[in-house]
Amino acid sequence: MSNLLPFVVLGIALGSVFALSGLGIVVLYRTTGVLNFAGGATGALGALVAWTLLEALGLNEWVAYLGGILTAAFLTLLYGVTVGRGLAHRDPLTKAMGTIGLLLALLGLMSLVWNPTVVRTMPLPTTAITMRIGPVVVNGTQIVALVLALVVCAATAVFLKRSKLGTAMRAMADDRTSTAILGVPVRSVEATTWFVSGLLAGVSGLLLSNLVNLNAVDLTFLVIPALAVALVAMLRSVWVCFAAGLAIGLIQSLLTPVLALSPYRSMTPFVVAVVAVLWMAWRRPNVERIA
Amino acid sequence: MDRALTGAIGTAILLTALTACSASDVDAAADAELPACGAATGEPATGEPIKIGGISIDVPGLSWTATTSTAQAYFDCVNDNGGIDGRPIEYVVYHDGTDAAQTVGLLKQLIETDEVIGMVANASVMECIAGNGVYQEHGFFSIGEALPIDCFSQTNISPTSASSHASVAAAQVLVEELDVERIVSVVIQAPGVEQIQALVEEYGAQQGVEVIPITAPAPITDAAGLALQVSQAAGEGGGAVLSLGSDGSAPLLAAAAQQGLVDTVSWACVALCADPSVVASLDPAWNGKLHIVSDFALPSSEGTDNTLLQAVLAAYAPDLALNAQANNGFLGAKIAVDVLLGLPDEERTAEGFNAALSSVTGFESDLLCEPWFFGSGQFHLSNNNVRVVTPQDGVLVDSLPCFPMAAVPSNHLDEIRSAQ
Repeated sequence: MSNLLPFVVLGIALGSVFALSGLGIVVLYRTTGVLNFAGGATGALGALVAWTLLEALGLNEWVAYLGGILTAAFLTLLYGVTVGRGLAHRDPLTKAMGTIGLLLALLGLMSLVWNPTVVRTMPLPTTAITMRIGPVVVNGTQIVALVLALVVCAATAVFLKRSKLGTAMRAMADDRTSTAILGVPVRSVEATTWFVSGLLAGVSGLLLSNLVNLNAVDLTFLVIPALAVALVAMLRSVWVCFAAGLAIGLIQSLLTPVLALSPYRSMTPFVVAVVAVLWMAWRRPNVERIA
Repeated sequence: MDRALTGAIGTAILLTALTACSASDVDAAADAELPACGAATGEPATGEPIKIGGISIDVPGLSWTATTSTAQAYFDCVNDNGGIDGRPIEYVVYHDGTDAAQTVGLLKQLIETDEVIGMVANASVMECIAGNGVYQEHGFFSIGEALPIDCFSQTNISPTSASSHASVAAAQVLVEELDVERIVSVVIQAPGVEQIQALVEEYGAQQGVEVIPITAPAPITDAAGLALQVSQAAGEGGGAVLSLGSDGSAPLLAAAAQQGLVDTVSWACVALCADPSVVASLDPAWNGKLHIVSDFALPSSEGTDNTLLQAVLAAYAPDLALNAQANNGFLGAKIAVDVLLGLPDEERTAEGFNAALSSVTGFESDLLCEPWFFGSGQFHLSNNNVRVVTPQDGVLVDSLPCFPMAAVPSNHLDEIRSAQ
């Protein structure tokens, strides 16, 4: 069997970004009850805006990156306070469908504005920094992805548990109406959550544009592994989200050198999610009905 | 909150609009001198239009409209230079997707409703898969860019490119020039890739070289892992043939360079690696190390057609890149114009044009290694002589001169060459 260490390292890096993307979905769902399918598309738009600010307008790279991230954040906020607010009292399926509409609209917009047949690259400064770990070369962007995922997960866990805003977010997930009656400014809390979710999508989009490809379609549909990660975390647990992201990235990467299974490794998020859901269903205690 | 919201909305719209207006991938040309196309009279054509049809795919993630757009640019140039004996060409183009029924409907609309007399410079996936029957029914023959490999096995369709068949030539370079002991053939999962793998495997069997097929899932999310996989599978003395799209090649080549794999394997790639945006993104480690099989001459070549193509793009379509799509669009349009100019006016009908188009032999262009011909029978692969180019500091330079592609059972080149 070929040396697996390189694939372990690479899998951790990719899994970190899956975890980061999944975290944005979990945080948003916990507050608003919206399963956001458009996270990948907003991240992709942010990355393309950053590329344009950098290449076409010649702005400073950090200004371009910030512009891209903020575009993703404000666009997500815009959706949240308009369509999202209008669908706030609808069932979760309807709210999720709304985000699919946003995904499709953004995909069309990006294909229209940025010719999809042109190959674009936007190497982050961290990508040029490399270090060798055994037989594999790891770049700074991969390390940043892992560290960022860890830090954001830890910060989110602490924030949701300890801060007033975090408590308000958790309360809204349970019962929006009661939370509002208790005087919590639900609209502000919701808007903040949408914005933060958009920030995470923007950062993920930038990182993935380096780790994968700066391509609108590819980045948009990387929301699927992120959704799988969020699903394994039952759309609740931040730390399970982190672990699930790493696990999916690792498994997918470790299948690469296995020639017989390698063509099917992109199924890893689906398989992991299905196995996790079945396992959780099997472990759920029986509910007795009282007539 | 409302003021903050207004600010947020304004910022998002402003940023997106600003970048939308600025998103441009090719510098606009400044030269306004009219290129000499077709009859080169310098006078606009004002007579009764001659309708020619075109179809190209345009869906999110797969847009090949540059082929028909380049053809349009050439036709515009011809029309500004007297057209076809004073008659301008009206190029009617539709864009299709991945629905075969839609494509068949569009082809019928072009032929039956719009009454085009021919179909040229096409770049559609479904045209090759579902359109041949429509052409046979109406006595039409089509030339264009081959997207799926099915384009090479249709009686009434003759591609101007070698497309995925170039993978055989890439394997040839590895075996005959670089003496590799085994070949890893890398494709991206898509319908028809088994046929591409079969080409390389058949060539390997002929040469007694082991071929290891690798099919990468689309999109490539782990380019570094894939590069490592290719390197490990090729081993010492091995080579790799990359039959990937331009958006698959770029991340893989970048990852291979970063992993220090450029010198561990001999690398060959099909023409899509020659896309200017891919070449511009290549690490200098690839200088002279990546062997790209090219259907067409380099943009830097000084041939008449190459110079004319660049002048046409500069004058009529400055936003289009000079790449394989442009080459195919230009060739398709030029072949059509040459055919029309060679016909008496009373024969510039569907019957006359298609009879002449299907009989084209010896069409010479400095863009091509050998003269192009429509060919007869079921299989068409007229662009079967290719050259090899290699990157050097962000641009491509010639590496090997034109050579004939090896004949293997799946490409039917023995049959095509003997019929020619």
